[in-house]
Amino acid sequence: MSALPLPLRRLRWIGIGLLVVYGVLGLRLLKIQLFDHPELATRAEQQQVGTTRIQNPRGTIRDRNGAPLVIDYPGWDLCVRIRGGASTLPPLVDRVAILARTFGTPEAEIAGQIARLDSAHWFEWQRGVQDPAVVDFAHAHAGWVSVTRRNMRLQPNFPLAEGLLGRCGARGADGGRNLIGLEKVLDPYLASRDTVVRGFRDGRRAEVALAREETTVRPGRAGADVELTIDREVQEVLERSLAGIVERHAPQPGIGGVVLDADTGEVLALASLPHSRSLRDWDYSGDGTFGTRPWMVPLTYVSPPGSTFKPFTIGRALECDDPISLDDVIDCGKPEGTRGPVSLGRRTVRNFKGKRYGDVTIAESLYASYNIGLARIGQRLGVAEMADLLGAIGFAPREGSGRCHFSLPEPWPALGMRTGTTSNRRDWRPGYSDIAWSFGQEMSMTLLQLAYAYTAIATDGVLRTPTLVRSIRYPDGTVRPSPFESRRSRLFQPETVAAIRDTLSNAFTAEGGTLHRIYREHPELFEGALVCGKTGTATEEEPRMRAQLDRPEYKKHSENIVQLVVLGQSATGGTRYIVALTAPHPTGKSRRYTSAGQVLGETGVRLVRFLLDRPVPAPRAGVSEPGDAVPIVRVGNQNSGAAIR
Amino acid sequence: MAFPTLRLPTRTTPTATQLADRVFVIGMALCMIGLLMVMSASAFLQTAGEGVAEGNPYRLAARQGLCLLIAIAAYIGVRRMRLAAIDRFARPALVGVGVLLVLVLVPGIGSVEGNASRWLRLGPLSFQPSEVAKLALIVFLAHWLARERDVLRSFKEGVLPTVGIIALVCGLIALEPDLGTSVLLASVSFAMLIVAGMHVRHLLPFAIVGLPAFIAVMALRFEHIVPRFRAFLDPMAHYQTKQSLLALGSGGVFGLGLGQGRQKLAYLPQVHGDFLFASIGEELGLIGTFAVLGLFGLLIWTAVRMLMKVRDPFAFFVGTGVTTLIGLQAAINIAVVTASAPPKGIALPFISQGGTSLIVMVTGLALLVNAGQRADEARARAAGTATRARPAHPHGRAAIERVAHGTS
Repeated sequence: MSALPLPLRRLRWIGIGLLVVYGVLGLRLLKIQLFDHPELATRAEQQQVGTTRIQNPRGTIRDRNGAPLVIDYPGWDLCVRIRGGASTLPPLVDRVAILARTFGTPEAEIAGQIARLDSAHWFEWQRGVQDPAVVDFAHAHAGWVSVTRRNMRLQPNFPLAEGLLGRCGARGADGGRNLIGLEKVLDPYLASRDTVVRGFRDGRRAEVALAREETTVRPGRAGADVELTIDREVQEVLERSLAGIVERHAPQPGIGGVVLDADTGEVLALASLPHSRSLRDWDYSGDGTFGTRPWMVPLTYVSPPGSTFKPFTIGRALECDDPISLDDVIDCGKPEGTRGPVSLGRRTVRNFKGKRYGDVTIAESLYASYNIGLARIGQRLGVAEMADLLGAIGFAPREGSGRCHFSLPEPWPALGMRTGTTSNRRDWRPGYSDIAWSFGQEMSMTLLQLAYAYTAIATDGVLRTPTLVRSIRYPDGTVRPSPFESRRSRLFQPETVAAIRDTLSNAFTAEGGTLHRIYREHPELFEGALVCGKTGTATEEEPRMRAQLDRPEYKKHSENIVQLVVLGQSATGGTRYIVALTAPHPTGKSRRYTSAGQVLGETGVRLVRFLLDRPVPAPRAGVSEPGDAVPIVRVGNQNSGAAIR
Repeated sequence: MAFPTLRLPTRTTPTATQLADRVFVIGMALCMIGLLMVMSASAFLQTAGEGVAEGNPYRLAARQGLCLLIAIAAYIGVRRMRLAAIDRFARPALVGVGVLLVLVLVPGIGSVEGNASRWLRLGPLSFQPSEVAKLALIVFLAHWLARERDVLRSFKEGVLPTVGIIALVCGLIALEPDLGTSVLLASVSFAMLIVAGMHVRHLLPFAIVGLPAFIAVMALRFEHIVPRFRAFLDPMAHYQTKQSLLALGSGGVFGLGLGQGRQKLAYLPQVHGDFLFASIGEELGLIGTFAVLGLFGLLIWTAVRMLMKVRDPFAFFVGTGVTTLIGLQAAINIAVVTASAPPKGIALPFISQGGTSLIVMVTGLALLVNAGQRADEARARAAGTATRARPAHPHGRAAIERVAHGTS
């Protein structure tokens, strides 16, 4: 042992030195916690307090009976953020296993994601989930996965959703992001407003569950519910019917159907096959751009109405200054061929399969759909009268285009509805194009536009623009009518359309009617019902029609598209329905046309029967019956006719 | 006539044992404060997903409590040991720690976390050899100084070999890298040497040549050194320092209340560890920080007073080392938290979360208390021997009392 005395003084000085250091630190603390306190506290609060947007539910889209078509569904964003130095994380293998179970993703994929990031400690991944069990699992086993509430949009009816209801993005209520279809059109009503809350946030800007001092900066509100005119039950039946057409008729892709309440113009169902989501399953060889926009055949597919337009020509001929009578006899091609098929310029109009029927009544030429007869009536009416008819239906000249365009009011254009057109005036074929409107050629329209035109025939001569929205129901209980009210305009006098309907009913009941086979084989479908209808064929317009119409070598009437409109009403009165169907021809060969028309016709009649047999829905308040008060529209030469001339 | 009875006011000086008891009580008080604050600071992290899957909000606090129990057991064990026995193990202990410090640097044996290899894992247990090295080096230096401090007056024969051993241990720790611990340990070692009698001028060569060279090598070798010095110059530009100051500053005088701190909500990294003092400042305010600072000051001063009564050289130097270690480590930690020093991860003794640190500090406390209590025993033995050898001092308290009572 050392004999030196213990150096007590030096120890004391060490102690004093440490106490002096503590004294200095005390002064430093005094400065920070006393003098700098206000500034530091303010800065701390600035970073700790943040505003959070709490998403309120977007409005529900319901059908006319209140059944939900699109709802907000609670969902969550699971976000993984692992950064360096995470010493408390479970081992990488466990992490991968937990993530795989959390996200329902194979472990190999997650391991690959991590490997691509080239670090086991830096990982960021986000995914939306809807299963609360997944969220619970993440809470319990993966504390390093942040969970954020985010509503999602659930559309139980995919065909309707894809083509009409549309989609909305992750937070569709804000900024119209990723909105298409009805979600976009009705966004001003459906959109909710986020509640903005000011409160404490943690260092990752996440809400602090423990926070108690929250203040609402801006109150939010839920979106308004929208009630559509769509009837989910009718929609399902229509979709099944289209599927049945595919099964029996095997057409090319592009089948569509519309069911309208003719009295109100309300669209009860609107279906398309394929719809957007199933496009990839079809061997669709058309214009590929369709994949990028809503695909709803009745809205986005234009074609000439063909023979389905003949009733309008007859109607105008019955009401023109030099009217005809349905009992008048007209030459529809004598066997001797003295007058034979009608030559229009360089073209010859023939009946279906080139048959000649001799002198028949105008009524028969309509229900049996003789082109020669209608061409003669068209010649008699003249282009001015036909232009006036088209103008009354809705065609209007567009400056500089050489065409007349036919559009329906909102919301249809916003939903992607194509405009109907007449062929370009510059490309008119002399002698033919003047008359071709009379049998539904040299023009095109969508199925819904055709169904709209038929509202005049189905009711008392009054056109009713189709509507899709019945009412807006706000969260406070206020119910407001649709912002897209149906517009009405008279096209024909009631007695004219009554006569046309009688004639069209002969398409089923009379021998020689285009749809007589259905009546013969299924008479029970017509019991206690007033059913009439019209078929038509036309060249496929989309994607080739427009090009074909404009080509000078366009020679031959084609039968690529089959159209059908069936009107039905119970014999005891009640709602008048319009069912319009369209389907491309399976092979393009005319021998199959009969089969195609029969399949569509039977489907249409069965749909009408279904509608008539349903319990009669309660009359909607505020809907007035159409009547004579609606003035007839005579647009004359100041509209389409003038442009065409 | 008899004189009236005169009772002089007595001012008793606490014995070394009493002071040792106070040191123990202060140390335990700091441990309790630490446990409470770890519980408060870590609860959010455990629920908010700072990498812990179990989701038990008090997991870290429970672990800290368990470590405290182990530390108290170690305290009892060391407290009952004779210092002479510890003295005998000084050299083997340092050699053993040296081996551990080498092992921790061997890839595959040392556990690497955050680019530093500081941990050795033995099954479910893990510990930092650098923490153990603190006590081992102190015990070794005490052992050496108790015997050979005469040679400290010679730079060549005394200072250089001693500093060589210190440099070896601190160098191994610096290689982990754990610069803070190596600097701390070097400072404690030099403090012991100075107390033991080393000339202050012998420090100059190390201060002039060694320290700048050390800093330069470290700055070139480890990229994080320079930014930390920059952070010291502009504290608000460094995230962790800024968050620490905001925590302290927002606490004010009275604090936000226990458990009400907000900076622990993923703002202040290591809030339950090296920056727990900031959380104390935020939740308990200036009162809390002054209380902790005061407790450390009281602990140091009580320990110094106690050591002034120690006559055993080994006990004296062990106590000096432990006292300096506690005092310096606390000062550095608080200096870092208050942005008075460059950011460095050094735990606040007894308080910060960390098992090895807590056990080592409480064991050190046991050595300190042991030194104090043994001092009284030695004094009593010495006094007993003196009583038998010499008559009582005529001017002692007994003589005064006799005068006061009028008895001759």
